[in-house]
Amino acid sequence: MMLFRQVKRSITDKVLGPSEDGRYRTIGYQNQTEDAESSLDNERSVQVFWSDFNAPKNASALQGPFKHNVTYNIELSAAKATELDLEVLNSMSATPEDKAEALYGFQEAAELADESFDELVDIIFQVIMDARNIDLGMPKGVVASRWLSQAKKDDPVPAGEFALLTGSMTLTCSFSEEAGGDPGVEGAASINTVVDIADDDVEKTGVEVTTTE
Amino acid sequence: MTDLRALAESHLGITLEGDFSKEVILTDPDGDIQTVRGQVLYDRTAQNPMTGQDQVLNEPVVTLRISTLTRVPEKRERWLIQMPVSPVVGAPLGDFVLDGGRAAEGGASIGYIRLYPKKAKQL
Repeated sequence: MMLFRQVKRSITDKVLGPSEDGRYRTIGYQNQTEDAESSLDNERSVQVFWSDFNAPKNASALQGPFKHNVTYNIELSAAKATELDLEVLNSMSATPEDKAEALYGFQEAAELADESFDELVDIIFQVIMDARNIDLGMPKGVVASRWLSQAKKDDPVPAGEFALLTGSMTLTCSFSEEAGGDPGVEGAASINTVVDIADDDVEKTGVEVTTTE
Repeated sequence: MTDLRALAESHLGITLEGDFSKEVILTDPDGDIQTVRGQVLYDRTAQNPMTGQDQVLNEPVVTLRISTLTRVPEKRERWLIQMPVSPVVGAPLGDFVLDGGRAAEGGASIGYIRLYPKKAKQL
């Protein structure tokens, strides 16, 4: 398996996954669609996939190993609902003044989502750029130049029953890839050439050849 | 001459408050409560501004007849809206809010207002 695939799996399984601690959810592939509810509160999602594979041709390009730069996209999403004192608003004994105060004190979903998203960027940056993760979970010396080069926040999605914020971080690194050739696929394990002749109980006329690859 | 606007407004009693309507409980910013009937749709189609693709949004849309409201929601006002969480008969009431994040729309000349409530959670 080529390194760009191993490194992606390593970022998911050995770097971001173990650091979740209930603060976000790591997805190791580019999800097609995701609704706001699945990113609600601490279910903030982090999707990791490679997006760019850049291997300039050089003197060793014919047989390898060839050094290449890979860009991984880390897509982030966070969603929040408006929070307010519903106990007061649903109370039979609360006065209109109490309810008015509860409504005045609510925290808007857009503000909460913005704060939640910023916190997620903070966490992911610290996890990826942690000195202990300089090899992105791979054996020492395989990955070089790990760098989070960009973080971007999209505009709020102006629809839906929750406030949803999405964005992405760009992770670049480089490593040397080997071109070992395509191993193909395994063939069938055996070939059974028994000739099945009717009324020949002991198959005296049959020949059985078994080969194993 | 027939006043078509008045006729159209009177038809809201059927189109918005008829057999398909749902009970909606509104708590205004002063804490006063009014219970009305209106049209509640639980999802709608929209175009994703990033990709241009059509998508279905889980976004309730509540359309109310203005003439039945004792107070009409204004921009940036904070209202609590309680309504069934699904169109199924007997569905429990859910808590939603108008949080000023999205302006109400409406056919002011016809006499209805369209609200986009957001889900609410306990603080």
